Amino acid sequence: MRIIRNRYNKFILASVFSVLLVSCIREIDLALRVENPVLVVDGMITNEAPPYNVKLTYTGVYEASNRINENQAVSGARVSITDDQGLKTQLEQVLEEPGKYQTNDPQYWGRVGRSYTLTVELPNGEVYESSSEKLMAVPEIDKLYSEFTENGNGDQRVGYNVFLDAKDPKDVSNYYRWQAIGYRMRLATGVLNPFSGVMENKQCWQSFKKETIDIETDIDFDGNTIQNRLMLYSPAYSNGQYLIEVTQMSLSREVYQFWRRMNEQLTRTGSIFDPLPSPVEGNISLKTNPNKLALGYFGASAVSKKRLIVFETDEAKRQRIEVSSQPFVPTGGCTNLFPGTTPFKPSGW
Amino acid sequence: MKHHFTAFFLIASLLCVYEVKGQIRLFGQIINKTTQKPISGASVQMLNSNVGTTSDSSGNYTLTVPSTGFNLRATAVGYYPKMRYFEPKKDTRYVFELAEEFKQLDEVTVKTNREDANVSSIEMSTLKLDTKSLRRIPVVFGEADIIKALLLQPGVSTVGEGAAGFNVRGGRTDQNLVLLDEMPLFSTSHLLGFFTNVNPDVVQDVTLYKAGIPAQYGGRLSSMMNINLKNGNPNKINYQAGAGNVSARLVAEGPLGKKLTFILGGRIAYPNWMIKRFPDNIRNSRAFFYDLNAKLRYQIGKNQQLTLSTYLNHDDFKFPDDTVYSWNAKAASLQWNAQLNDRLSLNAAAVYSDYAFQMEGIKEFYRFRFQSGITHKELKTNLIFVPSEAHRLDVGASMIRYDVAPGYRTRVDDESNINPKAIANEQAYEYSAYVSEEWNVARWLTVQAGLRYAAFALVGPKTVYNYEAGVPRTPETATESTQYSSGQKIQSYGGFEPRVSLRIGLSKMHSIKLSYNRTRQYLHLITNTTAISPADFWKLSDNYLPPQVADQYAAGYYLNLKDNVYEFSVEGYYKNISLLLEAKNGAILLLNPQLETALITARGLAYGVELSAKKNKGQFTGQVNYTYARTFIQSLSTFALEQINQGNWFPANYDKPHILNVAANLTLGRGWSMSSNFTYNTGRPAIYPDGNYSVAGYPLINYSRRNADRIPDYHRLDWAITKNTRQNKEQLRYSTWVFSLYNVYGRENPYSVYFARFNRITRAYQLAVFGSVVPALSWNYNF
Repeated sequence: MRIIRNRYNKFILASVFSVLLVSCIREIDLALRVENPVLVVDGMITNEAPPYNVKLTYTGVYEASNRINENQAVSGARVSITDDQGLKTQLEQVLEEPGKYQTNDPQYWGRVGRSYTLTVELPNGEVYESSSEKLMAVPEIDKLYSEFTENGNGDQRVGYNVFLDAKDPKDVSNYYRWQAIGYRMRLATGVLNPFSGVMENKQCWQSFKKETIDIETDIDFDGNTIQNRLMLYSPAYSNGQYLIEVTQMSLSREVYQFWRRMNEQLTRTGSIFDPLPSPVEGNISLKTNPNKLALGYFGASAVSKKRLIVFETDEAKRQRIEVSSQPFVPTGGCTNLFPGTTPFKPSGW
Repeated sequence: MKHHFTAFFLIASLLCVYEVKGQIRLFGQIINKTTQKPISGASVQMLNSNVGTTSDSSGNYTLTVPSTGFNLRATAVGYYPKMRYFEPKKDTRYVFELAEEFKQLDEVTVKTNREDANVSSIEMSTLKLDTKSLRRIPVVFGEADIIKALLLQPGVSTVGEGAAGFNVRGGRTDQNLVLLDEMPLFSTSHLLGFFTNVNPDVVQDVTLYKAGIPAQYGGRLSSMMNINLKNGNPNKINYQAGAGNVSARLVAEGPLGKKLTFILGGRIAYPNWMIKRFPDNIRNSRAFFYDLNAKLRYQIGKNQQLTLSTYLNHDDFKFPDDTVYSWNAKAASLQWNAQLNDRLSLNAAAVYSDYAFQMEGIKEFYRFRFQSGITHKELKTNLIFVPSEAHRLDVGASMIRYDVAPGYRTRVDDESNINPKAIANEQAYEYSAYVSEEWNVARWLTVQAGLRYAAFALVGPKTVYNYEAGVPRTPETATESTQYSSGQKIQSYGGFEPRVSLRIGLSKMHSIKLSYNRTRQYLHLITNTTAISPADFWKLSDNYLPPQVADQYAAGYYLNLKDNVYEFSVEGYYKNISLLLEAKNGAILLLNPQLETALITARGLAYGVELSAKKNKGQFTGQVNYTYARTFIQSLSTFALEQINQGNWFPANYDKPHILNVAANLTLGRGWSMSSNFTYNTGRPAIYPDGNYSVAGYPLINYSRRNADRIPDYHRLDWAITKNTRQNKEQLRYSTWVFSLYNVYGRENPYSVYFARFNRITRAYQLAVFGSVVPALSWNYNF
C-alpha cells in the first residue's frame, strides 16, 4: 500500500512539473489565522531499559519562516503510565528540559504482550488519557549490508546505501518503524592537556540520522521477507570505517496510522492531488469529553537493533579523494573543529 | 388537492381540444438544403402573428394555422431564413429547405439553435456549444477543448488549471453525466486533465444541462452533458487534417453507397518533445495519448435511421524505472430512430461503455500491476408523441448493468515482494422508467413535467462485513461477514425523481422560468484529493454507502433585445444535497476491502446567482458572465475521530464565490478574426496551518479547520488571432491558422499553496501551473 502511495506521490509531483511547460514555485507571505493552543503529547514505552520519556507541549502560533515556539512547554502536569494489570508508575518533570517528563522507577520495564495507558492531568485540571497500547513483539533484523554508490549529491556524492533484510511473521498483523543512525570518526591534532602533557580531543564522532519517517505494514507482504529495504545513505567523506545502527520497532495499528498521517503531512508536495490536510490526531483524548482530541500520540514498542561496520572500499577511497581532498589533519581540538560531534566512542565502534 | 389537480388537467385538456378544432394543421420538416439532413431547433413563425413553433430533433414541426392566407418564415441559426406564402384548405405538409449561411460574421462560440430560445424555450440552465468556432477560443497549447470552452460559461467551474473534470453548480466532478452519442464517459481527461478526451473535430454540438435535466436521463446529481457527434457528409468524401503543439488530428467523412455514411476521426499526441526539455529527473518520463471516433449512419427508407457510434481512447504516463500509468476507454452505441408518423417517433438504443485504469510498478523486487475499472451496459427506448402543437409527451425506460472493479493488484514476477490483492468486483442493475410532458398551456405559459423512477439493486457475488454498533466502523470492529452468491440481491434502493419546469412569457422579448429537479446517483468516484486523479476509482452504492440525492430549485429571468442581438439572463439556484460521501481524515481508499470503514456520509448545500449578457450578432460578438456561487459540506458522523472540521459546515474544495468571464470576438475581414477571453475567480478554499508543534523531533503543523482559508485569486487574459483561407463556399481546400497566447500578462496564478519544511523552518509556497505566457500555433486543413 505504502509502496503504491509513495510512487503515487512521486508521480503526482513529477507530473505536475513535467506536463506543465512553465510551472513555477515561489515563496509567499500569508496572513494566518490564530487558533487556541492544543495539547501535544509525544511519548512512548519500549521493552528496552527505562527511563521512558513523555513530552507535553501546546501548539504555538503558526508563523511562516519561524521555528517552533519553545515556550509552549507544559509544566506542572501529573503524568503516569498504567499497565493492564494495574501497575502504575509516576513520571517526574525533568527541569532542564521544559515539558519533559520521565519515569524514575528502574524496575518499571515495558513487557511484550502487556498494554499501557498514559494519563496526563494538566495544571488546569483537565485529564487526558491515551488508548490502551499493547506492546507487540518485533522480529529480529536478519541482515544489514551495504553497497557502494555514486548517486548522491554535492559533497555527499559517494557513499554507501545500507540495506536491511528481516523475516515478517506470518498470520500476524505487523506494523514497523525503523530508525537508522550512522557514525564516522573525525581526526584532529588535538589540544595539549597542560597537566597530563597528553594531546587530548584528537578524535571525535559525527553522527548522521535518517531524517525521514520509515514505517511499513506487512499487509502487502505478510509472512514474506522484508528484502533489500534501504535504511540509510551513508556519505563517504573521511577515512576509515563507518558504524551504522538500525532500530526496528513494533507499532500498534493505531500508532502506525498516526505515523502514517504524520508522514503524509511531512512529505506533502503541495500538488492538487495531495490528500487534504487534517489535524494529526492520535490516541489521546480528554477523559471527560472523548470528542476533544489531543495531538501527538503515546506508543508502546518492542525494539530490535543491529549494527553494521562499513569499511571503506578502494573505489570509495579513490572517489572520496576526488570529492574532498583534505589531506592534513587539522590543528585543534576535534570537537571544537567539527561542530555537532561527540568525543565519546559510540558503542559497537 | 389531488382532485383539484385532476380537474384542472381535464379542463385544460378540453380547452386544448377546443382550440385545435376548426383549424388546419400545417406540418412538415425543416432540412438542410445541401445535406438534406434535418435541422432541429429551427423556428417556424407566422408573420405578424403569435403563431410559431420549433422543430424537434428530427426536424419535424407541426402548427395549427388559420385557413386565411399568411406568410410563414423558417429560421435557424447558421442558415438563411426562408419565407413562403400559404393559403391552406386542408392539413398540409411542407418541407422547408434552408441553405447554409456562409458568413463568418454570425459564427458565435456559444449559441442556442433558435435565436430567441433564451426567452421562448422552456429549457433553462442549459449551455450549448457549437464546435465550429471552438478553434478560435484561445486555449493552452492551442488544443481546442470542449470543457475549457464551457468553463467560460456561468455555473461551470474547475478546481484549478489543468485539473480533470468540472464542477457544475456546486456539484462534484463525478456528478456529471457525460454522454457522447449516448455513450457515458467515466473520464473526460487526457494527460491528467489538461485536455478533454473528445476530439472537437468530430463533434456536432454540445449541450450542458445545469438544471432541469430531461427526465430521459438520470443517474448523476448535478448535470448532464450531451455531446452529439457529426453525421458523415452524405454527398462526398472529404477530409480535415490538423496539427498543433501537442497533437495531430485527422477526420474523414463521406458516403458509402447511397444509404450509408461514415465519419472517422482520430487524434494522436506527441507531448514527449516538451518533456525532454525538462531537467534530468523528469526528462525521461514519457506521456502519450490518442482518441478515435467512428460513426456509421444507415438510412432505412425515408423515416428510419440506424446509427453506430464507437469511441476509443488511451492515455499513458511513464516514470523512468518506476511506474507506468495508463487509462483506456472504449464505448459503442447502436441507435435506431424511427419517425412512425408525423406525430409519433420511436427511439431505441443499446449502449456499452468501459473505462479501465492501470498502474504498473516496474521497480526491481516490487513489480506489480494494479487495475481498476467500470463497465456500463444499457438498453433503452423512448417514444415521443406530439398530438398537437401544444403537447409533447415523452415516455421511456432503460436498464443498466454495472460491473465495477474497485481494484486488484497482481504480482508480475516471482521476485516481487508485493503480494497480490483483489477487491471483489461489484455488480448492479439500475432500472428506470419515465414520463415527461411539455404542454404549451397558452402563448405565455409552458409547463414541462417529468417523473422518473430509478431502482438500483446491488447483486452478488460479494462478501459483506457486519460491524459492531455504537463504535466507528473500522476493520477491527467487523464482527462477521455474510457471503452473497452470484446474482443474489444484496441491497436495493429506489425512488422517484420528479422534475417540473415552468415558463412564463412576459412578452416576446422576455420571460421568467422556474424549475425543480430531484436527482439520485448510485455511483461514486472515490477520492480524497482536491481534483480528480487517475487513481480515483468508481464504487457502487452498497449496504453502507447510500445513493447520493439532490434537490435543485432554479429560477431565471431572460431578456432579448434588438432582434435577439443582445441576450440577457439572470438565474438563481438552490441545491440541497442530502447525502454525499466523504473520506475520513487520512483514510486509505485504494485497495481497501472494507471501504465503508474509510468513508463517512455528509450533506451538501449549494446556492448561487448567474448573470449573463451576450451580443450574438455583428462584427463584434461577445459575452460577459458573472456567477456568485457557494457550496458547503457537513460531515455526519457521531464519532470525534471521524468528524471533519469538528462536525461544522465547511466550504467545498471547489467553492469559488465570484467568477467572472468575458469573451469577445472581432471579425476583421479577409478571413481574419481576433478573439480574447478574460477570466477572474475567487481563490479556491485551502487548508492553512494554524498551529506549530513537534513530535519525536519532527516539526509539524496543525490544520485544525477544513477549508477556512483561500488561495489568492485567479485571473488570466487570453488572446488569439485566426486566419481562414476560405474565400467562398465553393472553395473546398482551405486552411485555418490559429495563433494564440494563453495567460497574456504572465500572471503566476496559484494552483495550490502548500507548506514545506526547510532546515526545520516551515515556509509557505505557491505552485503556479503557468507562470508565463504560453504561445501556441494550431493548423487545420480541409480537403
